[in-house]
Amino acid sequence: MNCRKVQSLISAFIDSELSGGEMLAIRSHFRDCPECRELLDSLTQVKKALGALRPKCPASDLPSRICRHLDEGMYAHTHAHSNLFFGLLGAFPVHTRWTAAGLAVLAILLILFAGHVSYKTQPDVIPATNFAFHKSFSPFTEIPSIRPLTITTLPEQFVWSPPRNTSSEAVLVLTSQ
Amino acid sequence: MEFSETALSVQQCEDRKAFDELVHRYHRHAYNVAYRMTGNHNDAEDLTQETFLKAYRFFDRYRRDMPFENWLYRIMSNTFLDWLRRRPKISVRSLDETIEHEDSESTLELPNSSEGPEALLIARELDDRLQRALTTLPHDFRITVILADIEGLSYEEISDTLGCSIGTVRSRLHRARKLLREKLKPYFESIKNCDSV
Repeated sequence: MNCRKVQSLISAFIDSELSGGEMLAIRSHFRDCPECRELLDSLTQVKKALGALRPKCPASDLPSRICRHLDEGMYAHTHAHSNLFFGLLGAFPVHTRWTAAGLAVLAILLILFAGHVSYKTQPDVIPATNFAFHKSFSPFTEIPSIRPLTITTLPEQFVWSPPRNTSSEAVLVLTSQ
Repeated sequence: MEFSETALSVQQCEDRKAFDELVHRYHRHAYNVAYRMTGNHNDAEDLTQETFLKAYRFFDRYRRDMPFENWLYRIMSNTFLDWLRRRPKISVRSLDETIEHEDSESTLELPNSSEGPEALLIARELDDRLQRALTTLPHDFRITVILADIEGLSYEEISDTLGCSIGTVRSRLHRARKLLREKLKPYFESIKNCDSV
């Protein structure tokens, strides 16, 4: 084994994570190579120093604080049958979620506005009862507008009449001359 | 295994008490790894909390063939990586800072009554230098060397925990140790010179 190969395997050698044959070959190389031996010694020193580090202690109330956060329901305990919507929602970054929410609100407002405008442009539907027509009125003429009027006394020019065109559901209007 | 059976109990019976037991059982190890990752007490606490909360949230995804502790380390590693992406500068504070706890604990370390004050001072200095050197490592190298040399996991365990190949573990660990060696070389040489006097 050459130095380059040995040096790439030194950490694994230190951790005994190589095959028996590799371990023997590297050990044999060390006998004749002070440079690789020096690297072995220094990396072993680093490993020992890390292993000798004293464990850091958390605050004594850390576990109770963690459990308290769980009690406060900061995080829902999800299961296999958990809410798919919130699961998918959580996959997106926060700014994406806010953008999507804003667009959804805008879409709802637009739909409501469009519906309101459409409603206003439709003519008032007047039940086909209590209509009166001018005597000169012809059912074949185009009705220009709708102007419902409340009449208690029918002027003599007008007559009460059912819808002339009984084959359709056309809304007839009270016209006045 | 006792711990896996405890984890299984949480999954099957949705028992919050059992998960609380896991928190109490593993929080020290988790905090130690978090501290070595972040280099300071406050970030270590935040990282530990967030890791456990995520573990609780996604407990239904926990594979029973992996030790709970290792699964926790994976969550911690991914969480810390997210932190680095969002806020690249994690503050590193002096390890000599005393932290006020409710029970009047005033140090971050477990005291060793068998050591004299001089040995304690040397140990703290080495700890400080090692910690500073650790925080200069890239995230992948850092978590690998922490799991291998501080937590004592095998290459196979690290590979399973981090979801990478054993060859990748070997490479990252070797490069991490070499980087630490370069950072600590002056300190080790100064100790060597003092010993030879």
